[in-house]
Amino acid sequence: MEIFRIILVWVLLAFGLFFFMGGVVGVIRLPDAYSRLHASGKVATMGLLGILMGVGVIVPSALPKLLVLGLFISISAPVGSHAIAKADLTYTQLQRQGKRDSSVSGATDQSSVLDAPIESA
Amino acid sequence: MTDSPFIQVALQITLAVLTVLLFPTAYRLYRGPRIADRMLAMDLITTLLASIMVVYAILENQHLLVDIALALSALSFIATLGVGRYVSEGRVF
Repeated sequence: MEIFRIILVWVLLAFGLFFFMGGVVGVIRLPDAYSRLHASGKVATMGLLGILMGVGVIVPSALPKLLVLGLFISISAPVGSHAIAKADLTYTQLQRQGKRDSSVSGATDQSSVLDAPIESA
Repeated sequence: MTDSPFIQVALQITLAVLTVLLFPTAYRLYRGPRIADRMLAMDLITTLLASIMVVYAILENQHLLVDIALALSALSFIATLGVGRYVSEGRVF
């Protein structure tokens, strides 16, 4: 019986690590800010949930706290991603209207979202 | 259960990989190029740190670190909202 739990722990931890690695690779390799937001927002949250499940199988007495942490992360991560995306979109629109100094963003990448057409919010 | 060598090895591997993953994310934080990239890199670093804390808590049998991970992720959420508001509106409150 013990061996099944050990295998379950390995599988869950590997699941979490796989998703975390996918998220970090996406954050490094994807071409623009919104795609990178997609990678970090969804994939990394899934990785954290996998690791929390694996740890919860090891120590069942810590399960309530881990459940609270997982619940909080799965609620707050999409809201945070939405806040980042909305802030970036508003910032870009203000930059285009000349209401923000473009040197503040430190933008060096000319192939960024600034070149793409933006629908009015 | 925690004393089993297989579990110890699994936790140590997880800890090592998570720590290594901090460096590419810190590169994205340093490089940018947009504000959104830095914000999301900081968010991802906090998520990584929270999972590192949870794994380390189980490995060292210090369950207090799980509470600290919860507080860290809550503070990071508030910080993300605050920075987003500052970037889009020019002020936090």
